[in-house]
Amino acid sequence: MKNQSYIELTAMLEQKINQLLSENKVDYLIVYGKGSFWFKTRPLLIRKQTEIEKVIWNRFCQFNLSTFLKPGSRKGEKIGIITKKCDIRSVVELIKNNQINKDNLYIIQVACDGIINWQKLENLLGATVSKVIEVEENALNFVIKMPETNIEVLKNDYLLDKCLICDYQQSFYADEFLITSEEKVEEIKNQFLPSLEILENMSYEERLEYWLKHFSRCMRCYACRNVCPVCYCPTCMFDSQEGLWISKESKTSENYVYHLTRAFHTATLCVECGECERVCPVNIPLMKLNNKLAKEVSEIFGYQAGLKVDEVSPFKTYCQEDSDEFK
Amino acid sequence: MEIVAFCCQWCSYAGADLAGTSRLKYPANIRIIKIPCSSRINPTFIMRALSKGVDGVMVAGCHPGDCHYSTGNYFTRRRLMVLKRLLEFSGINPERLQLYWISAAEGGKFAESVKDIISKLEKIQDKPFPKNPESSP
Amino acid sequence: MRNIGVFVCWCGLNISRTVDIKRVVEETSSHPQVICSTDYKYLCSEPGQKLIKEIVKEKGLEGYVIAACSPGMHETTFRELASRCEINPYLCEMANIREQCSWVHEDREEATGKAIKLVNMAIEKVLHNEPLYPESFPLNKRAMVIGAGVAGMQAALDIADAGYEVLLVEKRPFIGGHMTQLSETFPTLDCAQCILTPKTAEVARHPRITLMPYSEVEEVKGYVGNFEAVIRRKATFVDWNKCTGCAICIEKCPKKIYPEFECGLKEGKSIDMAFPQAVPYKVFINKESCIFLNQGKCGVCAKLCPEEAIDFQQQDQLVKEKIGAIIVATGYDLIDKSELAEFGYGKYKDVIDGMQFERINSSSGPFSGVIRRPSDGKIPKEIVFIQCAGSRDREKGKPYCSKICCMYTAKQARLYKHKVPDGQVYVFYMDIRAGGKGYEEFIYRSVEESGMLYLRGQVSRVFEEDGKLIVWGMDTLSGKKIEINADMVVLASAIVPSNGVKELANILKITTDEHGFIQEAHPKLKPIECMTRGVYLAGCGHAPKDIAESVAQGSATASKVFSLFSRNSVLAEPTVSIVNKDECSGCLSCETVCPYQAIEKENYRGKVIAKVNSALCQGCGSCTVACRSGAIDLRGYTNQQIMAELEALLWK
Repeated sequence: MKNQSYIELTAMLEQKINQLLSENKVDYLIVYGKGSFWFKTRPLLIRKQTEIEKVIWNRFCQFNLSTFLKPGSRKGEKIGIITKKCDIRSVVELIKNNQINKDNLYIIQVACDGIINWQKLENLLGATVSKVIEVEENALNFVIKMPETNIEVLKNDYLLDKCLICDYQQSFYADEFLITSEEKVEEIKNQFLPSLEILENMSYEERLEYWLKHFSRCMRCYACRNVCPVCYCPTCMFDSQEGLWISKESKTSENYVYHLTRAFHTATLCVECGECERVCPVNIPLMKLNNKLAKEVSEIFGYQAGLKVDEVSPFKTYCQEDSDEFK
Repeated sequence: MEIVAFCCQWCSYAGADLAGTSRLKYPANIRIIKIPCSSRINPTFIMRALSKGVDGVMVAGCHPGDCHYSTGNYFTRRRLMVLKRLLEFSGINPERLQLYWISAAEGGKFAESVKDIISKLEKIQDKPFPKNPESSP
Repeated sequence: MRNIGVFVCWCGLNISRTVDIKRVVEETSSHPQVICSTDYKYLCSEPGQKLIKEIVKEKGLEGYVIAACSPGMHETTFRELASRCEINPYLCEMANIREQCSWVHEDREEATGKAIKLVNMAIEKVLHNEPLYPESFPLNKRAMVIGAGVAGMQAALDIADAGYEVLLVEKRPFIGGHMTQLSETFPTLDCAQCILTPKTAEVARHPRITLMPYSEVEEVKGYVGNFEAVIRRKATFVDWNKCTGCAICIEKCPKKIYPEFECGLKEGKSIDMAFPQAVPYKVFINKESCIFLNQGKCGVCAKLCPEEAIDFQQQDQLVKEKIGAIIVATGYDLIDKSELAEFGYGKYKDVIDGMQFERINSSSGPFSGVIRRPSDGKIPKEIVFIQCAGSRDREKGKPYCSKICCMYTAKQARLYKHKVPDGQVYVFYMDIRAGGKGYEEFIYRSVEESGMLYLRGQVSRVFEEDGKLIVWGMDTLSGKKIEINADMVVLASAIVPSNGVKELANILKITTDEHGFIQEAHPKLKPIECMTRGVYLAGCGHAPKDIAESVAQGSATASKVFSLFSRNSVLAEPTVSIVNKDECSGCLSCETVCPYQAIEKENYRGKVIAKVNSALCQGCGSCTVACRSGAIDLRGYTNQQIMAELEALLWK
């Protein structure tokens, strides 16, 4: 999708938002706004038509805005929300789990062609990152335009992992689907991340060491939980009775129980948006846990989270004929 | 070696009692926690036990279809299927978690199950969760 | 913090032989919250209990651990003792050091070590125990029986005889169920009407039975002791307070129909009474066929009725009733015609089902009790009975045995031979299942006396040729193909749950099995209870069964109702789940895993959250795991208690 498409989409978005606000269809909208740096974006809440100019749509709109639909952030008002084709699945999960009423929600899905991993960009360019004029693209590459020179990098190396395997299209639940006329739908087969295989092929000991090494860095800031759109419990079980499940100490064994419990709790709900991993200050590869469980749940129960509002999660039902791998 | 067993009170706990009444012998390193139904087992109980260095966890419930609460063990089966894979992916040998269906009439099966999990654990080469992971490399 | 006592039992040599009791006492007394640890030879004995009581008083114990046998054995003993010591019974825990320690281990050192752990675990648990009190709910001592077949009537009569009010709801306009359609009953060949009529009459005149014929349950709310039902009383278009059953209207009604009661074999009228002994003895109008109701003309019945009982304006009425217990006795239907096409059922008039044979044999039936075939009224000389028509057939999705067919086929064959002595009977069967009192003998007598031919095997096809029904079958004992030129074929059709049971089950929040029969709470130990407390189950709605069994179940459910009604309130076990309202996210993940529909919704601070109906909750705890935030916990087995046990177990 060329930059021109993003500019067009932003205009369409502004028009739509203007209409929603002027017709009082929504009380406020959760949108992307410009961030503190050229490639950064931030979530923005707008209530007035005068604020519409702040709305942006580009290849850096990484956040899953549905996090802001979690209870506590709403007061029965009508909300409009911008979603990518991946994020809308977590909105579906929130509806499914009675966390938000679809009647109070206006979902705008905007065409997306993958999000650029700005951290990789930053790593590549170092301090010169601030000099970038814009990022264009051709068929295979991103073209980073600098004052003196242009740098071409392979698109697939600079997109988010999840975008490489994304095969979601227009959601049935979107009230509005914004797409430019020239955009074509690319065929990408869903495949699980190859990095999972590396882990899967390790011995138990190697894998335990791998995880304990990562979990030992965790300081239980709970950012992963707080940003997670499906971690909607008003009080997390690890907060409600402190010291009950794990001690307050930041010990690797306690961190292990926390992360595994969270992975188990979000299994069947997790839509693999990657927000937990993005916000982790110590770069724990949390998505590997989530990807793995999503894969297993799909293999065992043929279930994928966030596709249909009326689909029953495998943990909420059972089948007498479930495979019995126990004795 | 230390093993925690979660037994539902209606079938498997009664099965363990029957093993006693029948004077069947099994190793002493198993400790039973009585719960009303296998569906009461929170996966975090199991993670907690394993992360504290327990060698194995045994879960025992009524046979599918015979649950005292009608459907509880069907949910247990689903939950533990996923938990087992999660533990495995986290680096815990999945053999460390065993689930058995033991009825109140199966004292023999209870004793055999204890021996079964112990023999499985004895075969496992990799170490359990380190007691003090901070000091591990 | 509580002051805990530990009492270790020797159980004679049973425990002390393998476990070093002294060491258990020593080790556990070092626990900071244990202010007293002691042992005794037999704690459950009179002096043992006295000892505990004295120590509790002397040391001011607030809870105690009994290290002895299995809680299955003596938990009640020691919890009752706690009550007598003025300690809440739920502050007593047992450590099972006999069945799960001394009896299964031989090494004294190992067994002692394990016993100490088990006691420590119990101490940690009891430290986290809360006093619990059984909750009590008001009780409405009035029962509702759904279905007035023989099972439902028996239940209603027993309950009413015991002095309680009963509401008997029946969807058909008369009571008595399918038994009213039968001619004679096995194995004694009594006339069905003769044994049933006294019962229907008794039900009708019983002062404590409120009869609601032609009514259906539409909605049920509440829980054991406090149900509220909405019942639809369907319009009969006849004021039954005025109708005397004089039948002038029936005689003059110009609209002829084939009513369901006669299985399509005998003509009836649009305004009619099902059969001459019907209770209530009142007429009703068939809404679908009545000329006046459909075309606005006619009204002959209204003109002729001497009591002016006809009321074309009558509407369905919805009535609300409060009851404390419900008995579901919904009965059965026969498998649909379309599923038995290979036998020509539905295609050939002379291929009939067992119920049609009953009507033919009945003296009030289409041929006044003479056995004739429906097509031309001739007396059939060659008659084929086919058992397991639809039953025990996986392909038809009915792998179960319909249970009564072996017996009623033998009965019908015998009744036929009584009336047509020169007739020939063939019975195709898979096995003969005659497991009831006097049943086997009945079958043998039938076979020996009447010269009927029992052929082991199945029928592959029935078709018509030259006015005869050709039956192709296989005798698996001789391995020969068999072809019979029959005059009539009688199918022992599979029994299926009566129409509408699924919907009723949803209304009552009870479950049905894969075939649509109502699920009992436990296949062995709670065969007449439903998963919902206060709802009981009698008759064929549960599974195919004969009259005697249905009656026995009717009485059994009545006795369940007695024990419920014998108290003045419903007591619920206190070990139920409870919701922390502030922590509940309202995702209701708990709702679907609850086998008892005990999770309700409640509005709390502007959102819908889960609420446990403690009268329905049975304390399995599945919800506590479905709940990610831990907002639901199970009293008596709280997360904290289990975690405390786990921690104690991990101590080195």
